[in-house]
Amino acid sequence: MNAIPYRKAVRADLCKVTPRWNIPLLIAVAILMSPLGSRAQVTTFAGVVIENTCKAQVFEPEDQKWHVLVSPKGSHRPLIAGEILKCGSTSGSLTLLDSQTYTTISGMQTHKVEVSSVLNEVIRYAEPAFTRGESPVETIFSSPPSGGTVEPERLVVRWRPPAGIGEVTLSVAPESSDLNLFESGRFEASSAAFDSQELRDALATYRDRNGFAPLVLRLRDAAGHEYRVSFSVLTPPNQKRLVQELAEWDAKDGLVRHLGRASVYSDFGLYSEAAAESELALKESPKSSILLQLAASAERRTGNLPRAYELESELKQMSAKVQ
Amino acid sequence: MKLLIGLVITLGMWWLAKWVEEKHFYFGTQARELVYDVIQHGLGTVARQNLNVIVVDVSDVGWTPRKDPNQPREYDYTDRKQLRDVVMKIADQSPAAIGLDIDFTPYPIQLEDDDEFLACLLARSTGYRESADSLANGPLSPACFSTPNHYVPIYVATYTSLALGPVYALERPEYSALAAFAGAVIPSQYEAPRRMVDTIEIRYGLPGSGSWVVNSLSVAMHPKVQQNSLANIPGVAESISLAPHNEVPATEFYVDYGSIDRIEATTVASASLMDPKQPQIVNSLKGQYILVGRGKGTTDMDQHNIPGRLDRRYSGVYLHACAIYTLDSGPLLALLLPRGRLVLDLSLFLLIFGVVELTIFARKRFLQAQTRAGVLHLVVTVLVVVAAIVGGIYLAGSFRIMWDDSLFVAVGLIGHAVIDHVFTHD
Repeated sequence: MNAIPYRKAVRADLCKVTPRWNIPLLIAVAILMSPLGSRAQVTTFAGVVIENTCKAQVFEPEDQKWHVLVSPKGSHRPLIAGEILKCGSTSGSLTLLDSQTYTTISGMQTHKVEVSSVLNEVIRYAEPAFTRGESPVETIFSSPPSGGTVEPERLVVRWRPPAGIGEVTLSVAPESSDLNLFESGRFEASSAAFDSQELRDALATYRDRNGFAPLVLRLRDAAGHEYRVSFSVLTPPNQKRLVQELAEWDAKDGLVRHLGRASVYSDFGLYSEAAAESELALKESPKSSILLQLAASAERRTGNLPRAYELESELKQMSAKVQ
Repeated sequence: MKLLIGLVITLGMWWLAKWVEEKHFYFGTQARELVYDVIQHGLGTVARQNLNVIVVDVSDVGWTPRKDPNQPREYDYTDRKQLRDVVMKIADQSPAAIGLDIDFTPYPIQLEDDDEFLACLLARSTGYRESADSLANGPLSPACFSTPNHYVPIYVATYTSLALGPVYALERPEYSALAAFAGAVIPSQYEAPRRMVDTIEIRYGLPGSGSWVVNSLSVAMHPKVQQNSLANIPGVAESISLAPHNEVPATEFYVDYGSIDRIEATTVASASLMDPKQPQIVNSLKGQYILVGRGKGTTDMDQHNIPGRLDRRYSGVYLHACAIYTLDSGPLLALLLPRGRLVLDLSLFLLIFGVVELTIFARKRFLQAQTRAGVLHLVVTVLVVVAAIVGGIYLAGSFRIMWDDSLFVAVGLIGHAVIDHVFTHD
């Protein structure tokens, strides 16, 4: 984990325990914390294909493979910084615009998409303040949810066993440390769950000692494959606020209660609990398209993609019937 | 003598504040930030009743998972058909303008969906009709066409794609009319992000060739920018400042974040726009500035700190909403420059000095007081400094003036009172 998200996590934690009116404490926090650039990761759109007459190919740094460059005539296929382009045939050429320059390549020539100085300056000058689609981090874990929060006392680790996985070990460590808080013995991954009081105790101790750095849970098999998920532990002040906010909804009727509780859990990053509440809300009114949508998005957030797909397909069927 | 010492202290503190400002010292900058924060809190208490800005949260709009067979990336984005329905529902209510705080930088796997969506926005915004042949999915939905002369200005967020210029920034050159810049200024070291972009100039071509001036999302939606009259006097105050970036010349303005919690509290979920059981929402958008975006952040993306609120972070859509609220609240906020601050600093000193001397005179003349003059001086000074801070908030709320070195001068004047307390023997 790099320094900025870590410092942001620390700051967020400190901030949550700071009463709004407490100006002297604010000063102390301000003095302790240097300003943090919350620069979000965005795809750097750095150029476009102007014309492709040579069955061009694109090398994607993410999977280190060459792919066919799909750029129908008349459409300016966007190019992302770091992509490498080449012509797939000896005839024809590929013309593109990047770095404020038009470039034409042919034959065996390659071209790496570069960021222009103007684009660099835009990124250095301003940070994104908008919504942009983001894919859920690919993970086999549904609990703890990726990037979410857990209450140590209630944690049961759950995952979708990848094909062919055998015996595994499970460990948990702070992201910035190699020192494990917990390490299990070998067990069969096909069980799809790990319910351990020892793990819960280790996380509770970590929390009680004011551990606030995010944690990484690793599942390793004998062949050396590693599956990991990052998560945080709910801090005591947040736990107190959570109880208070949940209590406000507990007085309400069934559906409203579940929706309110789901929203509170989600605000605290307790996505598994939020998904469970969304499912309970859906049970109250199974034909509601809005509730189906909410439950699907909550399940998607926890990484439980099969259930999310199931709910989405149900939603599609309902829409088709209505039309 | 006391007057002379006081004047020297006031001038000294003014100079110190100016020096700290120039040198960007950590503690000094933090002290100024603190005053700025207090003023921002104060602005919340004087915010007007009708904010004229409404955020429509699209967290409840479905996300379309796409797997491009030719790309390794899986990428989710708000379902464009659902989003179109939401935007058209809003447009039906004749708002003053609609801004989509969703980045429309073209992405290979969503070109077709975005093309159709942007064509729909352009039609609703200007009446311009793309030919059905040129759209991959055929003719646009009838919802995209309003009655003639009933167009609603609509803008979409763009960011990195602007660097490619108006022809390629949004798939088709004609869509550049919808483009607005949605970045938030990254503040200097130790400073909170006080400003938002007014306009940004993109020199997209070869060196020496043309440039494209793009409005920020807030300025595009609310183009009537009222200058603060104080800012017209050179060296006294500034309301629009130049960003120190040569490659992307930009202008910025100070944002009033005082109403952010109220804007957040009045956020409308997009699903409720479709709900006939909620007529109070359905009929509430006329004449308002509507920002459509994700109100709830589930990841670190698009989460921002603002001045005066270290206890939490806000989604970017609320930053734009505050920027629009600022533009809609009359003259822009003006930050006092050294010359302007000197006038107010000296006025504050003379006010305190006058009140203290008057009190001492009154005590000697009318009372058989037991209190020593030094103690009295200290008490009165503290009271007047508190009054000055309240006055500072009033200045910001009523005259849109931000006086952020008053803390320095206040500290200096309390020091003056302490010296007086120690050395006065009467």
